[in-house]
Amino acid sequence: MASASSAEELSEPLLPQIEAAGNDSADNLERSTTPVPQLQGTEEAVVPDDGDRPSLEGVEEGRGQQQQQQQQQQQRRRWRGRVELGASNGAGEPTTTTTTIRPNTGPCWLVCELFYLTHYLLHRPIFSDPETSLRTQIRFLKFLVVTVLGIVTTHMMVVTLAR
Amino acid sequence: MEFCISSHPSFFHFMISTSRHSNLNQKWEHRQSLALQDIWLYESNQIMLDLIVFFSVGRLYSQQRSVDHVLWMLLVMLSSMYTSILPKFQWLQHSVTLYEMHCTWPWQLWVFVAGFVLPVCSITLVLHSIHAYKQNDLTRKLVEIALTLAMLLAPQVMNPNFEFHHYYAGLIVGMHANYDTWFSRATMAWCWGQYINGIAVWGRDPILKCAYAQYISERQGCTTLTEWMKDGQDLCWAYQDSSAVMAVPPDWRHCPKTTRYY
Repeated sequence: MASASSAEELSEPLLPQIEAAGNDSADNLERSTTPVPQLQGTEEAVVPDDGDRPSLEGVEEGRGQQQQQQQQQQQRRRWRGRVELGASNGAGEPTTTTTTIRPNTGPCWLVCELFYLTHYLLHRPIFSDPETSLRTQIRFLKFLVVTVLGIVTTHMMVVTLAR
Repeated sequence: MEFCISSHPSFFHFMISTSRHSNLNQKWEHRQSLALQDIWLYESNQIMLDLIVFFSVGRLYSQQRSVDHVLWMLLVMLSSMYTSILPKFQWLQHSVTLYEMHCTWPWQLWVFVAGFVLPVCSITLVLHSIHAYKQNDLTRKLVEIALTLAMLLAPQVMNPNFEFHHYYAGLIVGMHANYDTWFSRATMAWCWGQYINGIAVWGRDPILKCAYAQYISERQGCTTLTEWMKDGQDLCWAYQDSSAVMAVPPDWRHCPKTTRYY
């Protein structure tokens, strides 16, 4: 289990990547697969689903407990957005609750990144959203109709004119 | 039986239309025995596959490449009708084969090719190449062309019965004019007009002609080559004397007089 300070150190540099993971595009995929900042030590940082929550050092005193809890929950969601990129749905939101973050150390990190990338590519919808799919089908139908009309028109015109 | 082979210019190259049933004296070239219901029954599935390939490779799914506007359809119809009126030009009634080019092409055809066809094709090709280079897309374009040629043309092209039907030329060439520029859209529309004309007027004939028909018939146990020869005296084969099928194709270098080769 990682210490709270390690978790906090990890969280801040990740925020831009985590937010980028909210979208489902190749560009964001590239940004979101940049190396994770290295943890101090060799311990894995594990963010639990329930129960153990990483404490936030440096939070200004005087904030209410509710605000602190909201911030913790938001931080957890962002981490999940980072580590669960491959499981995101079409809107880019995480759909499962895997919470392990591995440190940026050699083969382990590489394997994890490859796993995430593979998982992402295998599960990514071919069309980014249903509207795009529908639009493509409509375009093909237009192309089909134009072609069929062209064939029929040409045939009738040539046969008629040749008489 | 009258035999007609017409060649005519496209933006890129000659596109050939061939018919064994056409008459040089008719005003509008077409196969008289072809009916729309035959196209629907025998060829609609292959046409659908053509459309899918053209739609995908031609990037017609992108927003800027819609085909349902008047200008695109006008250009398609212009190309399609232009093809059928070509029989009026007698000196165009030749095919683009080594034999025909070496032995039977008239001088008017050579002038036409050198003065019009090649310049237009070259300009179009250069415009596409410049655009691809500026977009840093030249490598992808060349790979795409090579792959499509390897899959759609290479297996058949060395067979002596191969004929580059103009519908097939329109399909192959037009799908690669897939840039969002005026010259690329115009090229695609013109080529698709060639495809539509070929299907509507001649039908979607196999590019291996009788060789393909014989292959399919024998596989299905329908008929044999001998029966065809006795029956229709159909000059469908690539190398054929008036009475018998020759064992080897004629040598185009020497222009044999007794052989009909096309």
